[in-house]
Amino acid sequence: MQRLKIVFSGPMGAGKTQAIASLSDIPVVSTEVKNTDLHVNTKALTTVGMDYGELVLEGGINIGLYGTPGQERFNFIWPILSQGAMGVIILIDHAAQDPVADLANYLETFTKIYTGRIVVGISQVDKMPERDFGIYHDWLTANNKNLPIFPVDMRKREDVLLLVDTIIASLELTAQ
Amino acid sequence: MNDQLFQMESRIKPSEQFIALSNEVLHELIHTTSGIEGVLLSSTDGFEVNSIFQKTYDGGKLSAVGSSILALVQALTAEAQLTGCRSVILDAENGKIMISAVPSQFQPMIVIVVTKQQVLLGQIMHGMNKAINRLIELDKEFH
Repeated sequence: MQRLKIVFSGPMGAGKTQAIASLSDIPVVSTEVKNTDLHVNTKALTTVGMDYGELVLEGGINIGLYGTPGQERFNFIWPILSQGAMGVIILIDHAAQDPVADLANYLETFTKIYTGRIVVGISQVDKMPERDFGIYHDWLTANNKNLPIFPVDMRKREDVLLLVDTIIASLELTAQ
Repeated sequence: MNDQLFQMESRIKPSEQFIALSNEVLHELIHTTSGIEGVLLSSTDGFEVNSIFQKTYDGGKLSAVGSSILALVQALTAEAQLTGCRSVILDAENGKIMISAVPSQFQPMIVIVVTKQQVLLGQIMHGMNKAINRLIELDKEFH
């Protein structure tokens, strides 16, 4: 069985753990502990090691789904988990204080540690409908970056699968 | 400055009494157990609570990495269908590190102990267990 790897990263609360839970065909291995960092996010639990799930596609392709912790103090793990990944999915919380700054920060970090495909998923779009989704395209254009970027509901498998399919499709295009 | 203060206040931190008394626990651990070069107490999500070191270490980084390692090891032992992963021992050329869970009821923590290479592991574990039991009591009393 062919084995591949996709990494989910992004700031705390963007939905990485949820995305993997929605997509995984196996019970997810998680390293969630009590969150004491309430000024960043008020959620009860936070990932401190990694999440691990598996997605089995038709044709026997098994994709390992790796979720990173979001907080900067765990950034030592990001290059470790990104090694050998076929793609990195950066998830951004649309309702965060400054989601464009989050996107810029994570892209800057990951382009230094990872040279493969990056896809961006924007979560919680419904929580802040007054904020224009075009802010991300505007920033990407202003910074000469051309990346796939989608609004996604991390609770919906088909939404998260779209991000994975985009990575696979871009690989297939490159292979031709 | 007010923003920074607000951010500091928004973190769940142990009480001042817990911090002071846990400092005594760490001191006792170091002084009653031979071979310990440093000890650190951290929240399970990687924030330093207290530490005593002979050398200069970055307590923040140790806390983050240590909490990550213990969580990963606990995930590994669960996958191996073992229960109650309590500690992990790391063996380096010039020393050892022990990371143990402090399963407090209100503020779960971890203890990281850095030792010389030649130590009696049983003695270190015994000292750590005593310290952990005391920290659990302090958590109940001063949460």
